[in-house]
Amino acid sequence: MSDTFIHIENVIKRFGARAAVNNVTLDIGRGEFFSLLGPSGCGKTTLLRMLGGFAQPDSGRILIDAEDVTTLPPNRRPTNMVFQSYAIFPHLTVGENIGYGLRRQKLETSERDRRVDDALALIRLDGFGARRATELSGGERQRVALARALVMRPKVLLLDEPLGALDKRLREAMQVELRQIQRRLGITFVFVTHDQEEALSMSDRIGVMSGGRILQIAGPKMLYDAPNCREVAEFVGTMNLLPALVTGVSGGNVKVQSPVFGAFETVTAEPERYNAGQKILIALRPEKFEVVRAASSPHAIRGTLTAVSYLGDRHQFQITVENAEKPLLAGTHFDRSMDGAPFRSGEEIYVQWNPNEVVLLPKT
Amino acid sequence: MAAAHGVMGDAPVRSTRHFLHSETLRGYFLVSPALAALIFTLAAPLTLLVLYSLWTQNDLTLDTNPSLAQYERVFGTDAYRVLFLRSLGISSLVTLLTVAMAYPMAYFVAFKVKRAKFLWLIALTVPFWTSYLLRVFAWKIILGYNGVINSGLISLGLISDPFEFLLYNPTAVVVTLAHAFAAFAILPIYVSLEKIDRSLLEAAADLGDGPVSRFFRITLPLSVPGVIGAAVLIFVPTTGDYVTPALVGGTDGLMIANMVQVQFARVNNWPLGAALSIASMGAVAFVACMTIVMARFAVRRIR
Repeated sequence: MSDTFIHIENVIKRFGARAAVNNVTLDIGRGEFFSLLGPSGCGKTTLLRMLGGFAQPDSGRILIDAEDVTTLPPNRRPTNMVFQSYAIFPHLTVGENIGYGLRRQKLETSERDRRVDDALALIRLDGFGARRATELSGGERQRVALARALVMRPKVLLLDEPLGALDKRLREAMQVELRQIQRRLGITFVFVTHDQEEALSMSDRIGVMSGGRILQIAGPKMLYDAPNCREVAEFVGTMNLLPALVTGVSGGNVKVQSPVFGAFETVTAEPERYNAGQKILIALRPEKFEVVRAASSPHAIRGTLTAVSYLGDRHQFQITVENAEKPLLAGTHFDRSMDGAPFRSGEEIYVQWNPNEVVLLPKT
Repeated sequence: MAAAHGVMGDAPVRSTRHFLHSETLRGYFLVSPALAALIFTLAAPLTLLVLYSLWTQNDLTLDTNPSLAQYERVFGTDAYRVLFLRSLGISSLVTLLTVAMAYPMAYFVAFKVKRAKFLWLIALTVPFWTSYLLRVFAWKIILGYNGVINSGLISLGLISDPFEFLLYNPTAVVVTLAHAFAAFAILPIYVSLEKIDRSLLEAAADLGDGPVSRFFRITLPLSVPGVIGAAVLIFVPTTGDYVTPALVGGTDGLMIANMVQVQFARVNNWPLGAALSIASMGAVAFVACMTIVMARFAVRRIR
């Protein structure tokens, strides 16, 4: 993260007795693509609305570019928003929608028209200016909403699940497009989504929220490879979670005893979170497992293949192993072993793993 | 029969069956009671009215040779022209006043009331649960020589003699009608305001508009259908109203409907009454259409 551009400090917002946003402190850098990720009701949209001025924090403060905006109304903030419903004005044309905010500014008509045309070009809807807003498709409305906000040249663009209503193909195309526009314009984006793939593919950093709190702030790779708690591990991607016991800590190494994986030693970035005798969870991604017929590593466990599902680009295996409550999930690109014979349900196999890829999580 | 032949599936039978089960037929069936009522209570009397307006009353006999003589009288007589213009003027003023008063009320319920909106709407219509006639008499009591306003002002010592200009003039008609039709204005405006997506107002605020600009650029243009509906709903019946001008209008406050009533009842000249009615229908339709066109144009200008 470069220098702090948005500073959110101890912000609390209550609806009745429930705290929708519960003491959030967060810094977002200049020109950063920052995503707020979490299940519905986690407070991410409320936090975004407080950035836009549509809701006032009960306590705490918000600074944008070193200016305290906590109590400013939306029309006096250097932010613009792309609404979840797009909020396209139905009584205006596409061009009038995009130029809506510019009309307030004392611009020459020619300058205004030029900026509207530039915005239409940016979203590749050249020539759509005279169309009625009600004649647009969902994807076009989404882009008009984006252009209407960008034409204001905001310091911060707020996006409230803008891709949620689009079909998968269009959504993926828009993800790439949004990311390119953000890079080109260098505007700080704050993007709210419940779709973890979307957050991972677009963001510089992601803040995972749950119950009004931020659980972890990290880059996509870090978030995926090293979640810091059970909720993040479960929300981002698929994760095998198993109970284990810490038997010793020395330097960055932690000795772990697991009923399923046996005794092993692994490295951790935060050894201070663990001490001998502590009950923890160990986590491993399905794709970190290697499924084989004959074990070639000391870290292999025996199991029975109970289900094979075909997911198009890969296969997912369910493997029942001794001492585990739930079957392990393993993902692989191939449905067959090195010897060429496909794996079959009911087959006895080995699952191999690498201790250094095991993620340790404190038990909460 | 159709069902029995339907299995065969041959074309003519299928088309009959198709017709019997068609949406169109079901549609006609559903509207038939209303359609019958409309034919007997609207179309038939209206046809009769048009016929009468083309006939001539010669003292006690009715001359049924079609002529435009009645219309020549209607448009050629100054007294009728004055009544027409006054009717249209009074009801335009009533429409304007009522919409202007109803809009803030509808706005308040639609935007500011958070819960029990339904109760608020009911409460707004409570004054209209009493009969129309009773409300007109109530205004007579309020505005009268010994009425509420005069006796109130006298007992406060502000005036020594009662005002005589309160009742029996066009102003009294406007006040009474504006009150009587308020509920008709509130509901359509409320519906159109309630329909406005609140995120549109947030988007306008986000793009730099303060509350006043937001109202004029988003709320008002989007509520125009409700305003037009309310205006038509008030303008049309008030132009033809005769109870209020008869009771509180005095001689200066009489409207065209009072003359229609005179022709049908007292003078017994049905053809002239019919011609006056048809002419006033035409005038109302013309003004209503003009209003709609002008409102649409105004909306386009607001952008």
